[in-house]
Amino acid sequence: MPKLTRVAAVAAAVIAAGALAACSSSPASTTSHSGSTSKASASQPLNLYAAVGYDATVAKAFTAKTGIKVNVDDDSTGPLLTKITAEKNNPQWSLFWADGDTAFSSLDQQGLLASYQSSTVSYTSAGAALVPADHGYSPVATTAMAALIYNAAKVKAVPATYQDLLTAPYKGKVGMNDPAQSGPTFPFIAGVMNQLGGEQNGVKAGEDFFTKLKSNGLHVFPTNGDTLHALETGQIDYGMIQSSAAIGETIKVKPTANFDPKIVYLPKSTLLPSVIAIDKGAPAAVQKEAQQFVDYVLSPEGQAVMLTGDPSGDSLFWPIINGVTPLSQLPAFPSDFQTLDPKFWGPLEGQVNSWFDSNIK
Amino acid sequence: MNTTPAPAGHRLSVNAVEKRFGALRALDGVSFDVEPGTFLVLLGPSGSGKTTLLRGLAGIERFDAGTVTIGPHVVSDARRHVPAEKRGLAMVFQDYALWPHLTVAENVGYALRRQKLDAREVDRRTRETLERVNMAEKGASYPQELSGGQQQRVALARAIVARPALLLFDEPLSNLDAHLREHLRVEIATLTRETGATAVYITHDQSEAFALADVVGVLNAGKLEQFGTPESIYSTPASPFVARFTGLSGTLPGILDRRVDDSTALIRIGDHRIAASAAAALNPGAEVEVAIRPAAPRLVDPSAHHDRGQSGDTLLAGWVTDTAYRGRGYEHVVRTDHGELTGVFDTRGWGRGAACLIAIAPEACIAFPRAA
Amino acid sequence: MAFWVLIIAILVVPILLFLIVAFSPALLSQGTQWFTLDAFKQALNSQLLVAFIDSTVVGIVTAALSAAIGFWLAWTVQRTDLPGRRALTGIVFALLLAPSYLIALGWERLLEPNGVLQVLGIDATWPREVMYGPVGIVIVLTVKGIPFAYLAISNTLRGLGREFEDAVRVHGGGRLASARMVFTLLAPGVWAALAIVFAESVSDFGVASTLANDSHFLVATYSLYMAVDSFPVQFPVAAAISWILLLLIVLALFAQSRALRGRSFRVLSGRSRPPAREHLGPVRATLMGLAFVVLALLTLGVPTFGAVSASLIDGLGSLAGSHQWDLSNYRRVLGSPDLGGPLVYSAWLAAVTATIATALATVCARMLAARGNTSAGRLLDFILLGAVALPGIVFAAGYIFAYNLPFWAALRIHLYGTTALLLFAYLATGLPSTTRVLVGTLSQVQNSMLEASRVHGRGAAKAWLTIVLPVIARPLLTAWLLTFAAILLELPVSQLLAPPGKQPISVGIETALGKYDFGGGTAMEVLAILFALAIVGAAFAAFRLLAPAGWRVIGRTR
Repeated sequence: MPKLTRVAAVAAAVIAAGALAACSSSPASTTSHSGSTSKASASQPLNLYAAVGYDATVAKAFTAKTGIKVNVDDDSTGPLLTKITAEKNNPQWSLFWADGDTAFSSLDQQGLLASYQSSTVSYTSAGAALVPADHGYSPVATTAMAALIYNAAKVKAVPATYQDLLTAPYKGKVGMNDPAQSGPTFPFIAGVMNQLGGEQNGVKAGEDFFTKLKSNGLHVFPTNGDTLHALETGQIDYGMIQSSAAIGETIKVKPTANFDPKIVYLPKSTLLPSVIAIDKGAPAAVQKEAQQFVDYVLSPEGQAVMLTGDPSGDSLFWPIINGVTPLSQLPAFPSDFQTLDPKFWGPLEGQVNSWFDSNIK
Repeated sequence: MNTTPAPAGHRLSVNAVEKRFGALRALDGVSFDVEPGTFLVLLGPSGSGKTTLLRGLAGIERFDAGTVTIGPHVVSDARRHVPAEKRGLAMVFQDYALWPHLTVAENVGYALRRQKLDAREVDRRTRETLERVNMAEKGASYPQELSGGQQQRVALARAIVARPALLLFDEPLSNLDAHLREHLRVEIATLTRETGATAVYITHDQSEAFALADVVGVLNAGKLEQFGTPESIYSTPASPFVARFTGLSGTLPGILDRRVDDSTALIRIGDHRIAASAAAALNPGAEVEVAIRPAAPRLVDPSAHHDRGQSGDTLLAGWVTDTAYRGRGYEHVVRTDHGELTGVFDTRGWGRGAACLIAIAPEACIAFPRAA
Repeated sequence: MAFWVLIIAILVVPILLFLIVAFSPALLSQGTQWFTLDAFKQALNSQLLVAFIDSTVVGIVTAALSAAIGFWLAWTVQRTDLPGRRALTGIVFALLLAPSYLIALGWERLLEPNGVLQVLGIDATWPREVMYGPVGIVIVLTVKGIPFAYLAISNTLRGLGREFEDAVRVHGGGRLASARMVFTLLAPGVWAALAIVFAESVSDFGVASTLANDSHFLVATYSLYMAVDSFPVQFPVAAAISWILLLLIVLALFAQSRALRGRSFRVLSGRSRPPAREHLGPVRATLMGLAFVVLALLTLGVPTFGAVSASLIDGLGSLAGSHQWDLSNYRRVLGSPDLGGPLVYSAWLAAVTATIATALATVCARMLAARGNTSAGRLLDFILLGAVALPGIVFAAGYIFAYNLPFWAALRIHLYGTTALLLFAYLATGLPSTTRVLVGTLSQVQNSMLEASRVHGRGAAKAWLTIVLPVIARPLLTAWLLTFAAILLELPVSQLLAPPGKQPISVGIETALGKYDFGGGTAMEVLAILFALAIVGAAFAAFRLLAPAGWRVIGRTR
């Protein structure tokens, strides 16, 4: 290398090193989520990887209560799972909190999750059904997949079953999300498959249903938001999306002559729980603090905070903890629901999604 | 039709052209005519407007006013600006402007390919032209692999290959060393005349100008000060500027003593009197400046002469301050009481500090009115 | 030496570790096998072949279009007297900042059934079919590619004296021929532009997944994203596909070196004559002006429209119905903790990254521009371009692999989860394009200028600072701004490497969009873009006011 280049490179390296030295020290000294640093002196901070709308609010309340600092990595489920997988040989997260238990079940089977059974929690019967046998993760709340949202200002027909959607009145009017881009959509597809074929007969009957739905003019949009947009603009009149998104829409939109969104739950709705888990690789002291955090979110006090975090979105959940009242706008819990066995359906996600991509989309 | 022999050069007519750059008048009403096949050299110091004039002729710049006619076509006037590529000319640039991504042969053949000649013909004429500039063996080289002189030869070949009716040269020799410069000057002179093209060549070097030109135009501050044959410009410069720029030994201040005839007068310089050519308008008593061409002064040994520089003599007294050996003899710098003369030639060398007398030949002295 | 250590640390090690996973999943706990070809078997199927052909074609077409438009823009801005040409530079930076999501969104809002065009009574069926497929992908990627092409080419054009064009004109070549000559002389810049746009295009996934979501136009990155961005995450498969992406880059570089044949044209020197602007008559000026208005409408108007429809209209951007136009989304996010802090954090990181990246990129560009194409230069070229061709998420995962290895803890070095590592990764992300933008300029700098300074008694570094720096000051400024703008809104690396508790602005925006808060997310995005544009404007203004006169004359026209 010519001398000149070397000089310049050294200069650049020195600048880089200086800048790095300056900012390596910064994460320790400035942390945005610490409520009261005085109490935090004894504790190690928790790294919460979270993809639920109320995560930061809950973390803040927890820190205020316990003095344990929580660094929140608030992102979508996809990138967080990518990150957790990449960290496998040396995990850095302490807690992972997201919607949908299939991914958690898979992480659990890979031995990444610490078993923890909260001694203080009191689940409802629906909640108890969602708790895994080995307690690798804890369900916190639940939404349902799918809520069928329709424009009552434009259409009169309201389906009563999934099979109804295959009939003439619904031709070309139904939309749903793309499971490759919308996390909550695989549990919905799996739920239909589970309902029609069950674990014994597998995916075939469900595939037949979606194939027929497609020949009846099914539209596929990337995510909840896109499907709702299509509903608002009249590209579709019926959309199958996550319950919290659908309910949020009915709260936000004032009915007009052209647009009046209403929701119906077709039997059976599949529960899509919000789930939290503790990193098995974390130091014992951190795991202890993480358990405190889990206890907190499973307590009525923590649940009350969850209800305030994202009132027009993720906070529109159905509690699965006794003694917690959902937000007033929330309709009654769907009467006809099912829970999926994540151990069975989780591993099928890749296969089902790529089948959907090449046959339905 | 393109294979016909070289067309004769075009007549070039420039009438009252002007060019301004902001407040600066780069060209201020320049007019001249050049006969077909004539080699015109525009001579001027930097900033005189010669480059602007040349680029305007080429069509690279647009004149603000005035008319340019090449052959039968008006290429530039108030409304019209024929683009460079439609003017049927070629140009040799100061820093060559050879396209670095093309080989020598491709550079030279460029203009031919623009004319859509068939490939064999392009090849043949390219080779032939490269041979004429002694660059035949370098056809496959890239410009950056050549020396400066070689690059300029290629540029010359590129300019003449399509036998343009008008050839422009933008100080093509200024980046070359003295030996190469002389060599290439001869090549430019002969090749251009062979093609029969009318040529416009700009330079700030008067010896180059006189050596090449059929006609010389001297530019100063955007104006054409004089236009004529090299001989007429040398012998009767129109202004002190032209005289200075076409080569002087020095100037001496004086007063016109009396007229000898319409073109000659006696000039008093201190106590001395010398003869010089002077315009008829200059009357006795006028304050003048005598421009002395290098050929005028001659050194005289004081010991071999009776006058010893006394008053009324035609010989000026002085002493040698510098001596330079030039091969065929010596050039001296001589200081007198009235001014300094440089380039004073003698076949023998005078020592520095030697006292001398200077005889001045009247035919190489020109008196101009002294600026106020 | 220090230079290579840095390059290896920030680029080579993360990429290599990621690629190794394809053969040896167990090495980084991504499987149980120490050596296997399973990942390749899984990745290589008939679909993938189609996907690679698609990607290559899209990449080539996009690169060629971007270079052509970029050249046209650069030429107009620098070589003609078109009124309002200065605005074009602003447009280019706006394009750079416009997220492809907004571009795609704008097109969708225009063309969708019951979309704006249809509401206006224009049948959008035919344009919809065209846009929602390969043509649409190429158009959107071209819009994203134009800034790179423009900056790489205009930096080169700035240094090109006028004499080569004049020589063409006086030897019978018309306007077109002289433009072609300039295009050829700018080959290093043009090829740099082609290569970078090609690499960016083949690594894109976002555009293909939105616009061509249901047209089944398969691109090579599709399987890669399916492997890393949905569960279960399969890094070995992603790594196998990455190997193939790198193969494409090898082919691209091969094409580049064949085309340039190792030559670069040193035309930037003290002797260059400042180019005069070509006078456009009223007719041509009008036509050109119209063309730019159309271009601006297509490239900027559409995403602006997307942003407006998403952020100014309450609800999900439907125009029909009773939705109000108001600024409530802006009022909401202006007070939100998701905007202010993250924007400052990201801006600060982007500024530091841009500064270091520009310095490093200058060194890299000098090596790439070195005469004779040294093997070190060729290796560097491959590393830099390879880094672009690998999607950001792959790159970021490689960073986790490399800097979360347990042995760092044993050394008591904690890089993963710090702002420092995020900065390193940003640097590595920004370096390739910054280098490409500068390589054209540095390949023009004649060594004689430097040598002249050194024989006049300056030391090497001082000579460089006093002679070359002023000559390339403006390209450096544009490179800095390019990096700043790109890093400010960088997403994949930010998502995976931001330390917990710190949120870069892009992650905040993405999270809002992910929770279908289109209004809030887009409002944040618009504010961030306006902020970046303000920085760009301020930087150019400061350069005009503060830079020594001599620094500004390079590339100035009469």
